[in-house]
Amino acid sequence: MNCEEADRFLDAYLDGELEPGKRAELEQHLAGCPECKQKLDRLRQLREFFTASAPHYSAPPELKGKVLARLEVTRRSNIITLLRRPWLYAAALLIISLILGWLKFSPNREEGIATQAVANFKRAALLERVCDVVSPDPSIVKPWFAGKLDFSPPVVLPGLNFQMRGGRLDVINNQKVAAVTYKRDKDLVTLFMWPEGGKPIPKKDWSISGATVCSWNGKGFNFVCVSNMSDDASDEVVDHIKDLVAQQ
Amino acid sequence: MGPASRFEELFLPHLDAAYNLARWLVSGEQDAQDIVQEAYVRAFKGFAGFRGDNPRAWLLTIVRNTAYTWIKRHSTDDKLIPFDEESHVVPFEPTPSELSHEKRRELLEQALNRLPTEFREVLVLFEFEGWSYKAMSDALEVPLGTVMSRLSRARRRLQQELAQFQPGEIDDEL
Repeated sequence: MNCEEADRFLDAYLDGELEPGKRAELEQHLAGCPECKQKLDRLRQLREFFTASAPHYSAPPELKGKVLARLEVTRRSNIITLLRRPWLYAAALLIISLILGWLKFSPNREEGIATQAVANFKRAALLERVCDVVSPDPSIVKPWFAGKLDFSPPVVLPGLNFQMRGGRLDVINNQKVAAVTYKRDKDLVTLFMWPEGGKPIPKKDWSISGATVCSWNGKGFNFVCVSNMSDDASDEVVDHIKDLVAQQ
Repeated sequence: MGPASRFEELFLPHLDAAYNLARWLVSGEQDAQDIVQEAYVRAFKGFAGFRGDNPRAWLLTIVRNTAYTWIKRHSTDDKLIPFDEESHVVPFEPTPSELSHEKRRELLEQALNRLPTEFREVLVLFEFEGWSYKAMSDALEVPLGTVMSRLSRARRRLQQELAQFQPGEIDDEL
């Protein structure tokens, strides 16, 4: 190593940042070169002087408060910026609509209601406990419901050779509902009714476990009609019931 | 504890270091204060992306970058232009120890003020903050060799500036 090279590495050597190979070379050179050795000594003195005398500035006392204030303003403006984004409102509106729509027209909810209605229909047929009040006369069945429920369901006679067997109380979605049954030979129809209470059930048809189910709403009531008939025969009865309810 | 107070918990203890660096990079006290405030706001905005385990170094890097933005915006002189170390190297004779600490400090401050910002920067980061060459290379985004030569040139230049005071001028002033 010559003096020119040595000069380049003096600082790194002094700073403890020189790699071991170069360090050994430099030390060898320094041992035989008083001039470079003197440069090193001067550098060392400069460093000592520097660390002892160079100014170290402390933050003025008011700076902390200023920084905190700026941070507070930034924090607020971040919130305001966020609130100014139109997409945020669009997204919120969309989410709210989805939730409301889901609550109101949840397919699961309707499907659950239809399934429960079918279960009720089958259980009543199996237990042969089809009616609590047995009468073909609406003027007897309707008042009977009035004493058991806090609503008064429309009780109609669909015609088409169907006879009303009577009515009973049942439960769908943890809610007391009115059930009216009709019979024509082997054809059995049960009509479940309850107030829609802000959750109208949409018009829909199902075929569940061999039973035909039809739902709709009108006059403030939800209707679910379950029968052991074909779709067409069921539709015919449902149409008649709808008309009669509408006329009431 | 929310992210807001966590930010303050992590970074407010380094306010002195932040101010010291800013004050070294720009000479005015008011300017240094402005830079520190700006740097804290920048740090706060970028806090979500902070993954490191050294908040002090992270903050100082932001202070440093903020200071450079400020200098570029305000500077009319050419302090950013690197000094040509090939010219006139005058060896430094250490300031006589009988000089008062205040006087020595004043002399050094004057000498430092005549140094380019880049030189003051490596001096303060190395001597006061104890950053390694590697840490400076990362933060300043320059090769390791550049850090080494920059620090070396900074000291040569400082020696030269200090040499102008002595020995006669110092004796005269005392």
